[in-house]
Amino acid sequence: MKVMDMAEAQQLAGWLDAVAADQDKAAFKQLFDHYSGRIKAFAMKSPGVSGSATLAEEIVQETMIKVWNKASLYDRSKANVDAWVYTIARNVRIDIQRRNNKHDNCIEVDDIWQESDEPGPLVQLRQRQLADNIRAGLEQINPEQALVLKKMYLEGKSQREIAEEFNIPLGTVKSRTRLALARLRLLLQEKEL
Amino acid sequence: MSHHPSEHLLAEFTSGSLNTGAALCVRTHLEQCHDCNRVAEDLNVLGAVMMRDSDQASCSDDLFSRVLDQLGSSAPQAPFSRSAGSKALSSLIPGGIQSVPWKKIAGGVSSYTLPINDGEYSVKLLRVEKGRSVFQHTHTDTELTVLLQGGYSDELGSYTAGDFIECDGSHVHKPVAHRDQDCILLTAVSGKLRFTGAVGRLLNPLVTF
Repeated sequence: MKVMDMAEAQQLAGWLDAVAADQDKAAFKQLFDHYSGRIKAFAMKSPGVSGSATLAEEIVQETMIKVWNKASLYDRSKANVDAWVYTIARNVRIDIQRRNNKHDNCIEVDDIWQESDEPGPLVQLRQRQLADNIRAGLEQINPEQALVLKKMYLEGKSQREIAEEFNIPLGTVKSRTRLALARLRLLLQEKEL
Repeated sequence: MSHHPSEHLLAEFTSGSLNTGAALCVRTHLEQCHDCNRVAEDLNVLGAVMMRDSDQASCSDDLFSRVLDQLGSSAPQAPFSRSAGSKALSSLIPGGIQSVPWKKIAGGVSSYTLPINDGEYSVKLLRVEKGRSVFQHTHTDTELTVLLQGGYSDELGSYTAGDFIECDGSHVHKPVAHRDQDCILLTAVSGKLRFTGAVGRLLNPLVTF
C-alpha cells in the first residue's frame, strides 16, 4: 500500500504556494514532474481521447496551465493538492469530451464542476487521512465493485457505457456502484472509531 | 431541506461521468447543501487517490517547455472573476428567475427550456401556480428535480426549497404546489414523461415537457 506521507503533501502545497506567490518556475517544474505522467495516464483512458498520446498531452498541457493560472486560488485549508489537481484535470477532460460530442452547451464546465468554496479548517489533515483510508478500503472491496468505480473515475464512463462495455444490465452497474460506496463508507467509519 | 441526491449520483457527478443536464441539478443542490458538499469533497478525494495510484505514462521530452511557452511571460492571473457562491443556473438566466420568458403548457403550469444539449437530458424550469398541480405521470427513464422556490407534495412526500428528488419508472406521481406561493423547479428528464391520469393520458401524444 502506498501511503502518502505528510512530508510529500506539505512539499506539494509548498511548491504551489511558491508558484502563486513568486511565479516560481522551478517549483512549477516540480509540480509538472509530479503530475504530468499521472494526468497523461488518466487522460489516455478517457473515451474521448481513445488512446491518442497527442490528445492526452493536450489535456496535460491544459491542466498544468490551469494549475499555474489558478495557483493563487488554491487554499490549503480547503483541499489537498492531489484533490485540487484531480478536479482541474477532470474538468479539462469533461471539456474535451463535450467538444468531441459536439454538444453545444451555453454553460461552462467550470460553472458546474467548480472547485469547492466551502471553507473548512483541518480539511487538509482530514483529506490526507481520508486518502489513506480510501486507499486501504479500495484494496478490501470486491474487485468487480472496485472496477466500476475505476471505470467512472479514471475513464469518465457513464453507468450506461460501463453496462455496454461489460454487457451487463444497467441495474447491475448501479448496484455495484452503490455497494462499493456503501462498503467504502463502512470501512472508513470503522477506521474513524 | 430533507431530500438529497444519493451518494451514487454524487459519485457520478464527481467522477465527471454525469451528463450536463443532470450535473446542473446536482450542482444547484450542492450550492445549498453543506452535507452533500462534504460527501462530494470526500468523493473528489476518491478520484484523486485513483489518479495518483494509477500507472504513469511518460510524456514527450519537450512537453514542459511547450507548457512554459504558453504561459508566456505573464504572471499567474489574479483570482478569476467568478465570485464564490455564484450560482451555476445564473449563467443560463442572467436576469434571474424574474426574467424567465415562461411558456404556458397547461392550466397553472408554465415551462422554460434551458439551452442545454447534452444528448441525454431535457432540462427545464417549471413553474406551478400555488395550489395547482401537474398531471399525474411516470417516467420511462430518470427525472431529477431541484426545488428552487416554494414547495410541493405528491404521493411520495412533501418537498421544500433546495430539496433534490430523483424519480424513475417505478414512481407514479402527481405533484401539487403548496398553497402559499408559486412553486419553481429545475428539472432534467431523460427518456419521456408518460401521463397516467384519465385526462392526462390524452395529452401523451401532444405535450412534450
